[in-house]
Amino acid sequence: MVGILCNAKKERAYTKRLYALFKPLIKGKGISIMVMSLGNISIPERTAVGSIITEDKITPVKTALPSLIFNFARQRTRSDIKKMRSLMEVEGIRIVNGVNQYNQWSIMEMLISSRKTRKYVLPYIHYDKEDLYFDFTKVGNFLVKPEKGASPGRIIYGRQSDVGFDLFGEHGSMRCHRFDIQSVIHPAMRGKRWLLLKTPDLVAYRNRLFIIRACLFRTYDGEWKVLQRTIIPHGERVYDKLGRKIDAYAKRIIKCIECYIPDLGIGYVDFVLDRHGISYFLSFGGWDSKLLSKKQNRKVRIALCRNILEYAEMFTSGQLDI
Amino acid sequence: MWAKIEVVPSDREIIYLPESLSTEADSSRSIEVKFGGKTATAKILYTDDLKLEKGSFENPGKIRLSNKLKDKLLIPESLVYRIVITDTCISIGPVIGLLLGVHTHRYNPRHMKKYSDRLGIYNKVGGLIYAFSPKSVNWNRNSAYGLYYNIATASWEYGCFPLPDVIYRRDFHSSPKHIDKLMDFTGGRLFNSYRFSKYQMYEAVKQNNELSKYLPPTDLSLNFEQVKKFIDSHSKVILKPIDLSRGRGICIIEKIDDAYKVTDYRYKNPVVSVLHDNESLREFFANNPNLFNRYLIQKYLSLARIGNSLFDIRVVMQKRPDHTWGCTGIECRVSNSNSHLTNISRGGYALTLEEALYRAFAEDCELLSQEINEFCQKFCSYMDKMGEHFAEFGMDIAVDTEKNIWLIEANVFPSFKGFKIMDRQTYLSIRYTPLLYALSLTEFGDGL
Repeated sequence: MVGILCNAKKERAYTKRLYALFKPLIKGKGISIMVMSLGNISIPERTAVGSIITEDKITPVKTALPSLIFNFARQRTRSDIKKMRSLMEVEGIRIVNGVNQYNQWSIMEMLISSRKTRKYVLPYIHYDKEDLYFDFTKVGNFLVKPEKGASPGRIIYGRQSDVGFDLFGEHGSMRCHRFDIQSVIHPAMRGKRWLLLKTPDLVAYRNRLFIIRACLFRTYDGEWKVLQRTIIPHGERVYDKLGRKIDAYAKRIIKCIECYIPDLGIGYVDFVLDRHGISYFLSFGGWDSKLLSKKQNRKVRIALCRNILEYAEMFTSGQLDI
Repeated sequence: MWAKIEVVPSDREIIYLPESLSTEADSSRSIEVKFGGKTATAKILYTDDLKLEKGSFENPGKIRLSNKLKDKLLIPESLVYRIVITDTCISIGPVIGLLLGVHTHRYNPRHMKKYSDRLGIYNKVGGLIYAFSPKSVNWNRNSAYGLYYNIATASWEYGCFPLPDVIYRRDFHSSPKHIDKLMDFTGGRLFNSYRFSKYQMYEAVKQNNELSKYLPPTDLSLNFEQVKKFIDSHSKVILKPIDLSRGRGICIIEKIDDAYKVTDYRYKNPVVSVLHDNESLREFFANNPNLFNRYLIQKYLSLARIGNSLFDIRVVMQKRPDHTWGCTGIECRVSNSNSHLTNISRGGYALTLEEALYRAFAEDCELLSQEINEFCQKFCSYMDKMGEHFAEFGMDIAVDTEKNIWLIEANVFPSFKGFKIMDRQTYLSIRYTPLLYALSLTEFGDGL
C-alpha cells in the first residue's frame, strides 16, 4: 500500500482525482493507494484514517500506516510541522518529500557549494526591511523574494530605468521613483526574512517576470525526469532548444539539492531568463499542487502516478533501501 | 605537525612534501594518503619550497596536493590540518563528524550557528569538523554530504566529505541500523551512541547495588490501581513522561487526608486542582489516559530549599582527552518560589553549588560536594560497562532535607543554559571538551 498525504481540505478532491488516474494503472497489480491527511494520522498507534483506492472502488478505512508515503501537502501550522517531523522519525516508514516548502537561502547556499551549479545562482544578500536607507540604485536590477517558500506571486523584480525602477510583481508592472521604492515594495513583503538578488536585465512577459518552471520526479532507480515545463503563471509550454537547456539545468540543480535533502521525490525548479537567453535559478519547491489540477495535461498526471507505482513496486520488493 | 594545503593542477595523484623529509630510498615512491574515511595511493614528489615541521595552528607548514588527489580525498582547501607521516601512510586530519538527525532540510548554516561556540577550540583541534545526517551518507563512496566549519570565514558551508574518523552524536532520532553502521565504520569511535529514556536509565542503575540506593522509588505508570497504590504509599508523587525533558508534561499529585492535590504542569501555566476523594482521582486519570502512556511515577522527594524555592544540581560529567571522566561543571538550579520545577526553561535560575548548599543548610557542605562528585564518578564508570560509548552526561541530582543525595535523571544530551548565563568560561569549557575528546580518539591526539 502506498500512502498519499494531502491537506485535509483537499482530501476528498484528491481521492476522486487519484482514483480516476490510478484505476487503470493498478489493475491486476495488487497495489492499493491510501489517501489521508496529517490530522487523521495517529503516530503512537501507527494508524491512519483515510480512503483506500483499489482498482474498483474507494473505501473509507482506518488502517496501519503505509510504509511508503508520498507527501503532497504543505504543513503550515506549528503543530502540523511538529507532527510531520515526528512522522519522519518513525522507524520503518519512508516518506518521500517530507517537506515541500524550502528555505531558499539554504538552497542557494547548497547550489553555490557545487562547481556544477553555482553558475546558475545570482549574487544574493539578505535584505532587511528595517533598512529604510538601502540604496537600490547601487545594486541596479534586482529581485526580492522571501527566504521561505517559492511562490512566484511574492517575487518582485526591479528593472532600473532613468528615474528609478520598473517594478514587476504579482499584479503586473509599475514605474517607481528610486526614492519611493521601499514604500512600494515593503507593503508587499510579508514575513521576516527576504533575499535580494542582483540580476542582469531579465525578460518580462505580459507585464510580469518571465518564469519557467520545470517539474521533476525521481524514478525508482534514482534518476530524475522532467515531467513538464511551463511558463508561470500562464501555463504555456516551453518547447525546443530552450526547453532542453532548462531540463538539463533543472536536473543538475535538483541532483545537487538531493545530496543534502535525500528524501526528495518530486520537485520543481523555477528559472528566470536574461535578455541573452541565459537562465538563472530563481527558486525551488517540492510538490506543486497544480500537478493534480484538472487543468493539467492528463498525460502528465498519468506519468506522475505511473512513477509512484513503479517506485512503490520497487519499494515493496525490497529493492529500495529505507 | 600542522600544515595548510595548497592545490596544484594535475591529472595524477601526487603529494608534494618538503625536500627535508626525503631519503634516497624515497625517490619516486608511492604512499597511501588517508583523510577520514578516504584513502588514495599517491606519488610523493619532494620540493624545496615547502616546509613541514612540528609547527602550530598559528604557524603551520605547507604541503601540496594535486587537484586529482584533493578531489579523491574530498579535502577542503581552506582549513589547517594535522599531519602524521609513517613509512607507509600520510594521514591528514582529524576528520570529526557531528551526527545530526533525519530532518535534513533544516540543516543549514543558520542552524549550525549554535555549534559555532564549540569551535573556539579549533586552534587546538584543527582539521575538518562537519555536521551530517545519517540520511546523507553515501556508503558506496564512504562519504557524506553536510556542513563544515570553515575557519577562514568562521561560517558553516555545504560540501561533500569523507566519513569521519570520530563521530559525536547530536541527535537521537536516527535509525539504530544507521548508528550501528557508523559505529562499525569508525571502529567504535561514535560517542554518545545511545540515549536512555528516563525509565531505561532507572532500570540500568537499579541493577547496581551501590548506585541503586541513590534512586528514589520509581515505577512505570500503567493503570489507575497501581498508580493509586503508589500515591497512597508515598503520599506525594511526580508523574513524568519518559521521553520528554525540560520539565515538559509533568504532573504532581499529593495526598492530603482523603483528598488529592494535583499540580499539572502539562499546560503553559500550571493548573492546581483538588480532588476530594478516590472517585474524583479515578475520574481525573480516566480523563487523562495519556498519564498511563510512557509515563513514570516517582516518589516526590522532600527536597532541601533555598528560602521557599526548591533546587536541584546539574552535574556535567564529560570524558577528558585522557579518557577519564571528569566533572566539567556543576550548577544548582533554583525554582521560582511557587514552582516545583527547577528547569531554567521553566523560570528557574542558577547558582553555584557552594552558594546553593550554604544557603540551603547555612553551613559548609564540603563533604556533601565530595559525595556528589564520587557518586557521579561511580555512575559514569558504571555506564561505561553498558556496551555503549558515552562521553557526556548531564546528571540531575537532588538533595533532601536530611542531606541525602538522589539521582533524578541522567541525560546524554543535556542543555547547559544555566552555565551560559552564570559562568561563560565553564560553559565554553563544557562545549570544548567533546571536541578535545574526539581528537584524542584519533591518531592526531598524541600529546593532548
